[in-house]
Amino acid sequence: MNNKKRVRHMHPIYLSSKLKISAFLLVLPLVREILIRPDGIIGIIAAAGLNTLYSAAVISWTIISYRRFFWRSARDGIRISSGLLRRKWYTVPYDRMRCITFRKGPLSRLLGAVWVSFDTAGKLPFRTDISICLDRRGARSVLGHFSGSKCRAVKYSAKRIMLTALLGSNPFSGLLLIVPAVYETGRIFGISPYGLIGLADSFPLIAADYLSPTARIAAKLMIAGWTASAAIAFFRYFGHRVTGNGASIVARRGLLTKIITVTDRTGISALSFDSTLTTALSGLSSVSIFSVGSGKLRGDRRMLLPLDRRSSGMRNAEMLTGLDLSEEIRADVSPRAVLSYTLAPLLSALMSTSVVLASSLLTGMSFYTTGLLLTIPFAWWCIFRIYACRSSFFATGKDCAVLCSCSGLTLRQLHIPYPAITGITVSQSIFQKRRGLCSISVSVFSEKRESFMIKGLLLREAEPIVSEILKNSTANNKKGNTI
Amino acid sequence: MEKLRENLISDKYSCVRKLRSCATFVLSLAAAIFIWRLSPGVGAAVIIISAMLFIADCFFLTPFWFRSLECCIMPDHIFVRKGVWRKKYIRILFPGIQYCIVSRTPLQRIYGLCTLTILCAGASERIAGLELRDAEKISIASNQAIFPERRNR
Repeated sequence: MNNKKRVRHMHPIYLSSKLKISAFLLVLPLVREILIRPDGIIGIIAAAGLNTLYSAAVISWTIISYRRFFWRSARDGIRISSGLLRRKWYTVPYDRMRCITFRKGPLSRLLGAVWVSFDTAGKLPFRTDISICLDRRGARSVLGHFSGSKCRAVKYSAKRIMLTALLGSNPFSGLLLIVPAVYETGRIFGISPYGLIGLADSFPLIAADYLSPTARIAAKLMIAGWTASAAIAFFRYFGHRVTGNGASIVARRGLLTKIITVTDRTGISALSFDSTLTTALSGLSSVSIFSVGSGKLRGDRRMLLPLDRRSSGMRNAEMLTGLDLSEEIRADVSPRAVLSYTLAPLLSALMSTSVVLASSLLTGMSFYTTGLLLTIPFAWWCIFRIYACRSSFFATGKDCAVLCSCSGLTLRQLHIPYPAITGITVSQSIFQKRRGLCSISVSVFSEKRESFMIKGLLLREAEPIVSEILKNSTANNKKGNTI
Repeated sequence: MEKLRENLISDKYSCVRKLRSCATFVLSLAAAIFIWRLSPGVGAAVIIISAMLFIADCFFLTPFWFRSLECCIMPDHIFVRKGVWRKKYIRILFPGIQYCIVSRTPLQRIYGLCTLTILCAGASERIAGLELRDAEKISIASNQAIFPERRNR
């Protein structure tokens, strides 16, 4: 820290993120005492006294730590100095930053603050290298290091975002979000969980008369979860805009919380065209990005382009990344591998059917309800796996190796640039050996040592593709096009 | 090449380790006195075990551990050797280094030492017991690998 004038503290809103727990600890027992035992004044004082002491200690520690945190944007990188007892200081060079995320929530926007996270390929599992809260001026100066001349922007309309939210939402994640909130609210108002189920059942549903009571409640809960999930996704993806800024890709999105993700173009490990069964049958897919440094980004934070027609998604991705995504030599998954693809859903269906049938016999639950609740998810899984088997392939291209396979209930078409490939493993099980099939795993350059797998390829078709990829990969590395 | 190697691990690091084990021993003694009041037998056992561990750490483990440590800056990489039972020889190539974190505890500050964490793509290495100027030297060397144009300055 040579130049003291330039050294800055973080925005004071940073304190609020650290003080959330202590404030909660201070407030919650007080509220509980006041609500449950309004006459227990001694209890209120005791709860307040003990928690005030603890909270005071946490607050003073946070303020001192905040005062001891300094940062400055130097010519070569971000310099950080932090810590009270254990002092530490370091410089993260701009050249090493692969993924930068700017996040502005409603409160931070009001107070002029921006949360910024910097990621490098450095191994700090499950957390970003630097996560700081800056004022607008500081964030602008940091963003200035990554903005070159704008080439082209891809903007998505609200209609398209709505479609993405509706088709890409998962009812279970929605339920996970709403159930605790509804349950806690119900507890506050003195409604039992059974009362809440009754409340859910009172909502109208077409074809409800044809369902048994249990199936009807399950269907209604699923619809509620799906609606909640879609609403959240709509707010999250609203105003999605992607710009190719010279050496980096800048994606902006969000209605309440605005998120800007800057990804280094040279650090792209793979481009993934994701589609579920419904979106695949509609000819739509979304594009997400795997890049060195963005491994710490989870879930939809990786998304580059929302749901769009496959051809236009491909065109936009090519334009933004500068990669040629066409295929040259291609090997499809053999139809003989259908069994290996559908084995997992079939076995799971068999096992759970036997367990639930036994329990229905014991508990007296109707056979129709049990069948309905079980058949739909497993049939969906099985159909998806058959579709995945028919659509999966392995190919070479001009700039990338292409690997299309399923991961969970998503079909992923991965375009992996040759410089990002660190290894290819060809393996054969005893059953595959007999049929002349093989599985191929492609490892990519990433801080999490990520690898993508495809199974059920014919060995004689896969071998020339593997050798072609290795040849291209070696040629790229000799040219110095490594990440 | 081997003769040019200069071990950057400071001799003071051994003292820091011994002081740390002394502090741990004092803490465990305090805990043992507290336990003694509840159950004298368990308290005595805690005192004996902590004393044995203290002697083993201070007089056997720390000298061996310290002797096993080596850190050198080579022209194109950093060489690290450590481990008593399971020896580790690590070569960290400069181009693979993402950045370095220098940290100092109060005890290290008294002795003028620091800990250097080298973050590479896919791995990280922690080197304790370096003098501050040596840690800065490694930091600068890794920076020169990131920004080759600074090499001649």
